[in-house]
Amino acid sequence: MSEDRSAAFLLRLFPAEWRSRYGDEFRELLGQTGISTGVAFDVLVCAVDARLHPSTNMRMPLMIERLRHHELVIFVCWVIVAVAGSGFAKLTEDPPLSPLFLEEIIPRLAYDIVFIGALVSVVGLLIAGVPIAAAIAIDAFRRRRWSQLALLATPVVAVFAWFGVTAAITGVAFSPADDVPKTLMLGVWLGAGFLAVAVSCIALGVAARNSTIDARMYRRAVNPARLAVAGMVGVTVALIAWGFAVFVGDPYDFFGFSGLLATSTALSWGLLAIAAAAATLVALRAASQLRTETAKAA
Amino acid sequence: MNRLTSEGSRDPGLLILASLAGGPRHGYSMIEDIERVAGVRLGPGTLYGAIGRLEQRGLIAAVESVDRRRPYRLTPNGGLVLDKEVEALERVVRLARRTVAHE
Repeated sequence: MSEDRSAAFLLRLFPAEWRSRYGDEFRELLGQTGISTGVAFDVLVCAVDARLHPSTNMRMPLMIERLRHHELVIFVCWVIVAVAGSGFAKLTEDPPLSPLFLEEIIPRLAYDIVFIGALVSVVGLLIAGVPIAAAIAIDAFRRRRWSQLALLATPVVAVFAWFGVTAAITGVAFSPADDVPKTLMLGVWLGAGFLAVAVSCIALGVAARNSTIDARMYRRAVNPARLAVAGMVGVTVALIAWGFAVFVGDPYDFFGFSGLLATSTALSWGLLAIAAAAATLVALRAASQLRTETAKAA
Repeated sequence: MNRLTSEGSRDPGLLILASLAGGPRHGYSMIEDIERVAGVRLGPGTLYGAIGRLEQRGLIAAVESVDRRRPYRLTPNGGLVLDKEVEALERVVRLARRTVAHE
């Protein structure tokens, strides 16, 4: 077994909280001392001790880990709402739903709520996420952890890759009768989009998990994250109200052959509702955890 | 008496405090410094076990670092504890010297 793999194995013997606090520097130290049988035994004893007597100062990173986990879940929910919301807007821009959306049933108020909610949500997300992303990037740069920077750059690369797929697909000429290839291409395009979103979310999550930035960054992000969730909830409630208005106005536009429930709009709607509900639940838990932590610190 | 003196001067926590009294050091630098001064080579596990306990008690603190080798420094409280420990060891040494001289 190589020394690097031996060090990785020995580190896994320690509790996660211990690794989160001392893992990087301890691994570096093992690289300098080398791993003889004596060193391995010494590390083993220390690992057992760390498991039997977890230090109280290890509890703080655990709480921060939970807070970070909550914020990552909110971020993923936001991405789902953004994707589903974009899909919803696209699916309802064609007749007969478009006129309903803009003019007839839902007045400007609901449209404005969707717009303002989306704006609030984006602002909240940026206030919460940009400082954390910047701190992770600076930390990675200082420590020369290039893999962290690569993880942070993944969403940009994924978006460009998806643009590339889009350009390639739009460049293919179809005859009107090519229904199967058209459906296949649409599936490839949507699949590539979902893959880009999933890979981006995972990469950012791993980057946040691997980073050792100041714990206060995650605490400060709780309130902006709640703002983002409030925006998501506003958008979702306004769209549900719109759906209800469609139903009241003309049930055929809701249940009919080309009504809401007969199209992919219903799926977007469901995703919006589930993501907004999950984000709300997690935001409440994060706020509760922050209150508990503040009370304990006082 | 010999056992007490030996344990006192070989306590990893005290050795780390003494090493950091000369300024901030990272793990490997502490191991080398302690070996040079006290003739004791601490294992990485022993070192970090003690670092965790000292940090928890607020006797040492991590220093911001540009790489993975995070240095530690003595806190004011750590300095006071080190002074008291050194005084206690010095009393033991004085007593031992007096005892040896009278024999």
